[in-house]
Amino acid sequence: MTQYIIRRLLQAIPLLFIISLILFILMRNTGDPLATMGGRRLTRPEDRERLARQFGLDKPIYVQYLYWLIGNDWTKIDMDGDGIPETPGTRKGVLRGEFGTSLVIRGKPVSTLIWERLPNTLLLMITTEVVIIIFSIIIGVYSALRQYSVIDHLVTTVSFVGYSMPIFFIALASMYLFAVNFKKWGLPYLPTVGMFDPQIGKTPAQVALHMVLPVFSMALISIAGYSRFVRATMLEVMNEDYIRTARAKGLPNFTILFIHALKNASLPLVTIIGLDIPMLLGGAIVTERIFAWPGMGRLFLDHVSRADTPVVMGILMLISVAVIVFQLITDIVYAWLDPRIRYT
Amino acid sequence: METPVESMSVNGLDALEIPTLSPRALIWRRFRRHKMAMAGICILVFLVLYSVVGAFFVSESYANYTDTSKRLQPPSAEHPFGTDTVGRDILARTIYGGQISLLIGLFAVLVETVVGVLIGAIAGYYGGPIDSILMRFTEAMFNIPQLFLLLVMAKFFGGKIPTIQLFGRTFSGSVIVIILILGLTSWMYLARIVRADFLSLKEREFILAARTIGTSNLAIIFQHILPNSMAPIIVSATLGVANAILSEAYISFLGLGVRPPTATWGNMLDGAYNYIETAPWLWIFPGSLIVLTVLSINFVGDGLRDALDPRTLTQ
Amino acid sequence: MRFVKNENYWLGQPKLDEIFIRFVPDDASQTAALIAGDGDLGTFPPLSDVPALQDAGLQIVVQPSGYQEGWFFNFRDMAHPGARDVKVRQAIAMAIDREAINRDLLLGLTKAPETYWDSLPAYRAPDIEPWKYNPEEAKRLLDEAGWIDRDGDGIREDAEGNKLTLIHGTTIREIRQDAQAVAQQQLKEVGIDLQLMSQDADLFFGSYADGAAPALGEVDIMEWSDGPYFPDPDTDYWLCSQIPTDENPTGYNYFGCDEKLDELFTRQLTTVNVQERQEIFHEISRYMHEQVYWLGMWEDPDYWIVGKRLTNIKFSGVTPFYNSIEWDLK
Repeated sequence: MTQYIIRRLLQAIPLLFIISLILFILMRNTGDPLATMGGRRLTRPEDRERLARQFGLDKPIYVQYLYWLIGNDWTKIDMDGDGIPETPGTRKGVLRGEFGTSLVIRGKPVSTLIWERLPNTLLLMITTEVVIIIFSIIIGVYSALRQYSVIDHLVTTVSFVGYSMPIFFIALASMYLFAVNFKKWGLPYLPTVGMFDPQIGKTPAQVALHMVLPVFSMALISIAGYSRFVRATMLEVMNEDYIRTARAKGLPNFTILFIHALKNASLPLVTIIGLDIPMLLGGAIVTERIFAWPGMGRLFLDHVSRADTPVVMGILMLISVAVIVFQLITDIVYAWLDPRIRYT
Repeated sequence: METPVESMSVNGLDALEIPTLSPRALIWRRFRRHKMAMAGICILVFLVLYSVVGAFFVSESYANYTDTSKRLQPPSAEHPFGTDTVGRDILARTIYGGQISLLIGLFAVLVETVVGVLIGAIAGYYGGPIDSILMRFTEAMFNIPQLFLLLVMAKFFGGKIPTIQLFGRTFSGSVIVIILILGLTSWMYLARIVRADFLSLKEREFILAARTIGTSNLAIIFQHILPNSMAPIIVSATLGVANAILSEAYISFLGLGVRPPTATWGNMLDGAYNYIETAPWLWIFPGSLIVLTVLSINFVGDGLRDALDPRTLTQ
Repeated sequence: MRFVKNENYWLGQPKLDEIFIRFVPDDASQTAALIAGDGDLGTFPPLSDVPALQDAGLQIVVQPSGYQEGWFFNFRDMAHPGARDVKVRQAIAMAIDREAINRDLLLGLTKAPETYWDSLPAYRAPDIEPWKYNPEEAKRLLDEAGWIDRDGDGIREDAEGNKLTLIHGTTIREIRQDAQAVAQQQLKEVGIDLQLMSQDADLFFGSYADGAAPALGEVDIMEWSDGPYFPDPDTDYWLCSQIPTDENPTGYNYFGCDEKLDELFTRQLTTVNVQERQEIFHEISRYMHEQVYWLGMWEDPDYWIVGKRLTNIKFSGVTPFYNSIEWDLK
């Protein structure tokens, strides 16, 4: 098993290298970070030249990539524009754990920017994921036990509708219903934007209240899909011999259901959750935008629109690593849940 | 669709039971029985009619006609779906927007399928270093969440393609851009399926036979193997249309999609969240149309999957 | 952030004890806080929230900032012959109902500026006759200039058959895209076809070396918000030396080289006498207005939202707090 994990991690290195190369080339060709630096005016020519030198944007793209990757403290750069490199570089590069500094918010390290936002995104994502798992298991198991009941049919239909719903539509509709109209009808209504009411401050209760709608919007789609999976696998597992054996042994229904059946039925669920992490992250961009949630999705949008290569690269590489790690975890959990699978 | 007979009637017994039906008729019969899929087809036909026939009743210039004194009007007899922020009629815009959205869905899938099948087929058929290079690339693309990749690509190609004239109409160049980037960011899944199919099919007897009589590689790929892996390709392409329409809506919603004044259901939603409270008709109509389209395509895809599944050939 | 009154201020005691400055995370929370009366002063509301704020009895104060949204015409050699034709530019100035755009899209909070120096009245010629919305006159002018719809497709052509199709480019801000659509509609009515382009700001304002469309001269009409070096009237946008070329890739005159204008701009730079300089600028503004090198769309002011309780507040383009000593609450 350890050997397998090591091998997978080694395989991830060239993968991340290719990803970074693709993204870097795309990013450096999508807009000019200096274009919006003149405030509301066009950037003045002399500022443009000076800034390009400072950020190293006057270098060919492979040099820029090299500096991004391994830093430039081993060489000298030309800061005053006389054509002679005189100032030693200070960047350490990604390989030594430094993602550089933002071009837009000048001088601010990318890692600081990301760290400010990451906890907010993680809070939203993990809560959503937990809600998804709990609800899809409850609904899935229930409709498997009551196959062809009204609830079962309802779940099947709703899951299809939910699966076809774009997040923004759910978000807009739920905002319209639970915030706008509830307010109009004089019912207790939910807040729509932000992380907390500035009047009250960032208390856990406030944050939780502000999370209801975003979590609901993101979870609904996945719950719909996942509960169908749980239902299907539960039905399959319930007909297996070992469940019949367990029943014959006289084990209580609850133990059979949740210990024996569910453990095996959750196999496909684990894979799907692992594979759907990227999708959920994508959904987070839209959700954070609509609900003005100060997370990484909004950070990404703000900085991609101003061609801030270091920040965008930092976010995307972090996500790529997360995706790879999640795939690995998925595989490991899979092996743990299903003793038949052995990685060597 | 001549060759699939071979692989589909592997289960010879079943074929004996209903000897009169061709595979195509069989597939149709099973598809027809899938109620939701049939409902999906009906809704799709309605939506296509809506955006094609509707165009005979309202002109495109009416859909782009602005009247700022009538902005943000709620639905009325004159404007059944209300008006938008510059006083354009939303009903007319959903009709023309529907054409573009459906067009984007279809063509993006075309790009996706061509790229996905080519990469999958080449990787699967030739194997070896070509396979590992292509698959590493596929995996790399797979690892970046699609929406992030889309946003970066939308900027990469943004504004580089000028306006085009087609069928006497002017399309914003961004329509082409969106089609391209949607296609280029979604082929990975298909490539994997096709590759897996090719890996298993290329060792089969009839392929070995074709090779021994000197059939060229291209002919083997396109005439012998590819027709046998049509079923997953068709299903994946159908679902791909829904996915493309959704993705278009996502990037348009984030302001990087098709540029106005060309309407799409997606870009009609851009900025609508500023008016959740004051003008809900801005997002309710285009949003519902997107949901309806995606839903019915997903039903059809589900029906096709069941109908094309060789394991359930005779049911 | 909290500011407490300075008991020893030399102009006497401020009337307010404290001023709190709170940073709200987004527009919507600001709007909500102001409507609820949790705040007395806010800034830059989204236009979509303005009616709600006004309905709640709050006052929207518009303070000129020196910036004005306007159309920059490209009259360089590579531009469309229509954009280089002064008659066409004048016709455009008359074909667009700028008053309606300000009234409806900007909710009547702003006016259409006539010259680039409207925010600095001393430097703007006082005798400028505004371009009034007059589509009939615009059509006449186009006919006179030889732009006539010869093939009956609703778009005018010149004698060689060049269609009067101009490319209009701007960034993706919502209000700009809305105004673009309106302008396209109104120009179509006089037979001018406007092709719309909108890009992210970092692409649109990219340099010549980046191949950005405005820098390369691929856009006939460019729209954004800009102004002179407020409060100084100087600008070097229209200097011939600023035209971007392979030798001067960072130049930012994307508009064109007019020798008369270049001479005037160069002369004002070395003029020390204020009155003489004002006169040069009067000539510049008059000349540019007549040539329609720049067409004002709307003022791009600073917006302040003043709550019901707050009185005696005055603003300037530089700071809202300069008379905070006199602020009072009802």
